[in-house]
Amino acid sequence: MRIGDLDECIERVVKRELLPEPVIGSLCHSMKELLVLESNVVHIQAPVTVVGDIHGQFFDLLEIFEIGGKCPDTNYLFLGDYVDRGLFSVETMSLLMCLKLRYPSRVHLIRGNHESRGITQSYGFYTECVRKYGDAKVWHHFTSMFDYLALAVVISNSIFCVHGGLSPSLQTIDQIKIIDRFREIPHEGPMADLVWSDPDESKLQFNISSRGAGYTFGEDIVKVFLERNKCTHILRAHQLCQEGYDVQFNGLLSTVWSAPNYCYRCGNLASVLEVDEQLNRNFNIFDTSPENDKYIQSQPPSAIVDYFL
Amino acid sequence: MQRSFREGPWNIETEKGPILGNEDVGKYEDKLGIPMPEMVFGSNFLRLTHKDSGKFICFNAFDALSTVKLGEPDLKLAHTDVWKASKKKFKSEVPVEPGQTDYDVDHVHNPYDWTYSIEYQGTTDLNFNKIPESEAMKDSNEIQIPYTKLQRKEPIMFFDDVMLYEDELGDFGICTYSVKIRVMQDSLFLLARMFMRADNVAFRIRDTRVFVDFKLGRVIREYTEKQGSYAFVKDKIPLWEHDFSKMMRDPQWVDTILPLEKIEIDYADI
Repeated sequence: MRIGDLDECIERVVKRELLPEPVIGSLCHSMKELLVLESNVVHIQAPVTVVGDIHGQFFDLLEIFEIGGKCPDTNYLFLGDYVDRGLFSVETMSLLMCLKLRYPSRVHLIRGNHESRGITQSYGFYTECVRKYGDAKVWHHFTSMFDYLALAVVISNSIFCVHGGLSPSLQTIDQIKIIDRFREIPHEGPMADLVWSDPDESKLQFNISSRGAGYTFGEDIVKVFLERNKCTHILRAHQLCQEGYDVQFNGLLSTVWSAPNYCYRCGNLASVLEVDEQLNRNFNIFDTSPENDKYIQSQPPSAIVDYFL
Repeated sequence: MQRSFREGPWNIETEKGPILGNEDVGKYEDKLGIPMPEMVFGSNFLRLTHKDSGKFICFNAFDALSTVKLGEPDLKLAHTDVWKASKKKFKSEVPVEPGQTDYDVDHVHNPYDWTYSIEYQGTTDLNFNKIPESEAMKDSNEIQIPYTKLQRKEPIMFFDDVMLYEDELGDFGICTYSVKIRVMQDSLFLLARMFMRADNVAFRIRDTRVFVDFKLGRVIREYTEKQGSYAFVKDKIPLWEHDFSKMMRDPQWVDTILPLEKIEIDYADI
């Protein structure tokens, strides 16, 4: 993919122009060629700005580049869950993909549990692709590219970053590196745990979720993992926080959430986490972009009153 | 945002705000003994107050969630058995250093109904009289919500739709609970609906409908439970629908498919 073409794509996507299906196909192909060279765990250096779940809230993604700085002036690490729920998953994924291709060493994307064929069929991305393109071709392009996304990032050998959390099958970062990741996210095993599990401050160990599958992990697990891997902090996304972020286990773990007013009705704040050269962490908190309201008001109103029964 | 409608014999109030913050979530969890849904609209409510008597009926998330059942849930995720079987395999593949953490993962602590299926019919001090269940099932039952009247497009003087909670069931489905109301010239009608889809497992709809006839001074409340397997619902999707997931997210459509399992009707005269 030529730099000029990528710049052209970025310019168009920012204006919310849909890229033609063959272009998406070719971008996804280039992404795979690029990502296949990345390890499951990518090592990067601070400073970097870390972004949590976006879920298709494209106007808010543009806002992030306003408050956090443009690419490539600011390094970005995105922790997954780019699609589903919001109105613009196609645009969000198109833009992030173009930015990754254009500035591969300055933009890093890891996989969230929504970067999956199964989940995107339930939570809106599939429906959005079909609605915007008339068929599911772009959905196939995107979801097969998702299989190549890395699973974790380590910042300056110190901050372990993942979408969900830890796994009882994984004691060391090296064990993550030997997972065969080029596949749909399975229902079970270490790869599933990395994108699904949640911290639980009321417990010390791993626990089975009340749903009957999946884990929560407690403080002892966090401490042992950090010590064993010579890290100081775990940084993850995956859970909605009304305040836009959450810090748990006496500062050993942070959750960053980057979709303000989630689903256009939760009224929550969002944040990005800025990690500087000295590894200081600063949550930059932001609220929903006014563009959201402008867009929603510009749409034909759904019935104001409803003769429900 | 607060709204109210004060014409007629009832005061109608609604409140809509953001989801609960961490601190309040903690308070709710301490009081109710279960983890909270991802989105709890804790300040939201819909309240009807009878002007003369002061009697009320109200719908809010806290009271609704207090009816979530504790103990072994009756539904499990579709892949629970596969997951449990695989658990040992993955564990054994990885050497755990001796003397290190003992991973206690064999049972669920403090189980509860993770689908957040509620049996809530509102919070009220109205003196409701329950009609026998055998009567409630019958079409000829005298006390019932007049659906034929409600199908007429009478002018709506006040309408609102209030979210109370929502959870994505850890991305294995969805549970939403919300209440909407419409007030006409001589009556009002509200529907509080819980819609639950556990992917590849089941659907549930639990509805509380309240109809108030202003002239008669009668409040009729109808509570229904509907349930069906995921496969049963999926099977009903029309052949020509190429996006089945859209249908699976549509409570109105699913409602037409699910079989009725329970109906309760009660009424209060004031």
